[in-house]
Amino acid sequence: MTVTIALLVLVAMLVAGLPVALAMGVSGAVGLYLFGGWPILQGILKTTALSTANGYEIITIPMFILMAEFVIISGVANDLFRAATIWVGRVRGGVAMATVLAGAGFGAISGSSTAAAATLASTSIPAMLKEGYEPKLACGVVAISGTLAMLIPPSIALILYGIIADIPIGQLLMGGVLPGLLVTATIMLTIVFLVWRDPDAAPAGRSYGFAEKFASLKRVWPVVLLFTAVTGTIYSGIATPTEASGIGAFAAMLIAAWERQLTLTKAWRAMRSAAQTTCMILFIILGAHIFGYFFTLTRVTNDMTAWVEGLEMSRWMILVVILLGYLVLGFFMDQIAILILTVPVTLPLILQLQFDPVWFGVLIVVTAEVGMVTPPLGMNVFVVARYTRRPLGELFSGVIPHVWAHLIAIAILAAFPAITLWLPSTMR
Amino acid sequence: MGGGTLTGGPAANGFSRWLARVETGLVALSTLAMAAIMCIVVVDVLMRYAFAAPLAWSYDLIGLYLVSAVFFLALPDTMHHHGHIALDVFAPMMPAKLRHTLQSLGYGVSSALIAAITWLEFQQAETAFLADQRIASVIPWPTWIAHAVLTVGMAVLFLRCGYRAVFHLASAITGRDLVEVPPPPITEDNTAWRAE
Repeated sequence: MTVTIALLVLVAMLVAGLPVALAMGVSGAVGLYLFGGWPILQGILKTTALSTANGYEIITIPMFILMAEFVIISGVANDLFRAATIWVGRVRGGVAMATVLAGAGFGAISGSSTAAAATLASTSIPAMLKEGYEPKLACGVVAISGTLAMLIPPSIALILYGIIADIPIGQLLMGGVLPGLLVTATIMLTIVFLVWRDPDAAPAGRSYGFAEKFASLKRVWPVVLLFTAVTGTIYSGIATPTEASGIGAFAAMLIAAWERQLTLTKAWRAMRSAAQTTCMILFIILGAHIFGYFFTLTRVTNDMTAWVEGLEMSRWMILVVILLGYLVLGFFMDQIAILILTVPVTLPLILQLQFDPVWFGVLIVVTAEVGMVTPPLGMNVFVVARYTRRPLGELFSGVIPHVWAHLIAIAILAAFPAITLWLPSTMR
Repeated sequence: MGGGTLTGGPAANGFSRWLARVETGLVALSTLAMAAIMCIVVVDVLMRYAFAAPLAWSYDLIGLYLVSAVFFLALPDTMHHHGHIALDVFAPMMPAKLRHTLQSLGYGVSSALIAAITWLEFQQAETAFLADQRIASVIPWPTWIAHAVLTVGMAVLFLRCGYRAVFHLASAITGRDLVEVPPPPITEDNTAWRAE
């Protein structure tokens, strides 16, 4: 009954258009009050707020977002996108494919899915709309391409999973490389399919000569520099991921200055925007924490795990059930909160079933990606909506074909663990 | 529904304008904290590898104070500019009076939650200040500052949410928009877009 009331409050507040963070926080607080009264609620409120932002590791969020803001100012993302457009823009739907490649490239210099979606939204959507792309297709591609940053190193989600599961982060990052490429190919094939079905949705672009193609690569050096500053320093062990995020933001600022794009006004706007986006994410995490405590105390998570354990079915079927659970949770909860709440519960079960934890980590991150673009809490779609001011219904419908394609990619990754585990196995 | 729609841009009234000035001041401090994090991290890494002398205080300063400042001091400004994500699928379909009433209720209960967090944090800040509580580290930083930063941010957020609860209720009663509402999403016919 308590769980039902809390869920009703959550749904009512979401439907009324209240901020998601407030809806989760209030519904969680109502549930906690009904469950244990003021003493329980007071104890949780006393610690939750500060603990959300009290930690060194959390700086990856503001720093990677700030890096993305400086990248936007510098015009580097435009160059990356332009170079990709020159290489693949000739084919029908080519600008959308260039967006995917730029998303993969941006993913290689940023671990933030929302930052990637925001950057792509501000660069590629205007270009696609100008070319005459159907807005639904353009926005859907951007929202789904943003999720590549969660998989391609450096990935905040994989790093977070590594910390929770106590698994070497290097192996996890390497484990994300081939699945990242597979998902990139999946999105591009989906575009090919969509354009084949409806040629009017995306026009063909102009073709470029080899001289222009190679000339476009000269403008990509800042991306290589940033990639080195972020992933290079993590791989080489020069800096931790948190330090690398700070270095990345600083390097992006220097690139913006080098490109003569950094003015005081632009810097103030970039930092204010980064602060607001960080705040938006952390506020959801704060709300998710309160809601998560309610779920934990009422043993909803444990009951679900016990129920799965009690099922008389093969370990593969149990894996499917777990992944379906992640899919459903992704509809309603923040991905970071999902990892924090569920990995301590699901990982022992996975180890008991003799599955590989690195493979499982990559699988659940790919599954969580789906939640980034599905209603009601598809963060990437919200970010694209925030930048483009387009209706959410249109954006969600544009992303649906990619969701189906993503589910096929997840099935392939689940069926062939070697795709994930081969690269880590070659590490010394 | 009569009256024009007030969006996140201009403030709806004098109180909102005054509150917006406070929020801008706080978010300026938030951005300074963000810039400080970036610079400290870079200097720390440089000092470690160039001079084998990392900053002993950076970890605690950032983890205890600066991240909190970035988050909590930007909270009310983000709320004012409708930066906190919300579902905008159903609300526009509702009759204006129902929407304002539901939002008044929602912001009302949210204000109560935020007031509770603010009060609890104020008490912790006061206790930590009076007892001179400090972290056990190379530099024993006082803990009351972190609680105080959170209290200030949450207190201003409480004012913003309380303001919205009151003025959404007034809007429901009068039938006029007396409070800022999120900018409407653009339509199929209008492909202009805006990056913030």
